[in-house]
Amino acid sequence: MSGSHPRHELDDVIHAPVRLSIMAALAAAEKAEFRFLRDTIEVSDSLLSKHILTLEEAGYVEVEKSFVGKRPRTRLSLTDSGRRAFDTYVSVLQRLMTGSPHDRD
Amino acid sequence: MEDEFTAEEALRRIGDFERRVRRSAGKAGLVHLLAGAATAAYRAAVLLGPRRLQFSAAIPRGPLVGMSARHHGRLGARDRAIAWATRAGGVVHLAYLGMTTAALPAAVFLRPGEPGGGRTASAAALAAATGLPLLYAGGRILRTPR
Repeated sequence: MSGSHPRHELDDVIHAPVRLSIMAALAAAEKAEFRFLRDTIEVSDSLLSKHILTLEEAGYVEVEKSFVGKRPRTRLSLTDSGRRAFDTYVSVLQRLMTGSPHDRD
Repeated sequence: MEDEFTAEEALRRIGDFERRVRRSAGKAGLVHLLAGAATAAYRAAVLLGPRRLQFSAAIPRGPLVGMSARHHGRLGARDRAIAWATRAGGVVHLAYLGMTTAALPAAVFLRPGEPGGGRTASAAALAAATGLPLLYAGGRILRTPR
């Protein structure tokens, strides 16, 4: 295994279904609510929290907690490094799909 | 949900989430357009209508404002255009507040049917202007490429 195939360039932090869903939703939106992500991705609060923590530790996601009245509100957004990582991830996926000559370098 | 997945599945998932966020943004744009049109219609009724219409126009306005505020409060995803349009103290809010404030004395001084040509036209222009910030914001949200 030389590691030159583009699949080796896929970011492991992003390349997991739930985390990819979080990143994709945040890449399309400036900010998204925890509730929106949970309902859209269809996962439990605890599973979503676990994956958000992984993305936060990688520096890809920023978590903003506040209160609206007495109700807690959690908003998430991509950091600059998260957006760059996601763009790179998408370009690697596209190269994998098109099988560009660069893949075989 | 943690199984391996292919590049094709990953791209499909990304496209799917982009569509969901677009749908949510489209709804926010339409709510802005509706709120802008309702605001202009309400102001027109207040500035140009008979006394009876002024009171009856206020009845649906309360629930409409409430529904619009509730929609914004519950908006799950905000892209750049929505964040711009809904920012408290932002240009849309300030323009809306400015127009609404300007309409208050106008309701007293620009009564139609009174002497002085152009008063009805001024009132109609002001009524349309009060809806403009929200109409512009709605249009900008809907026009933003996603």
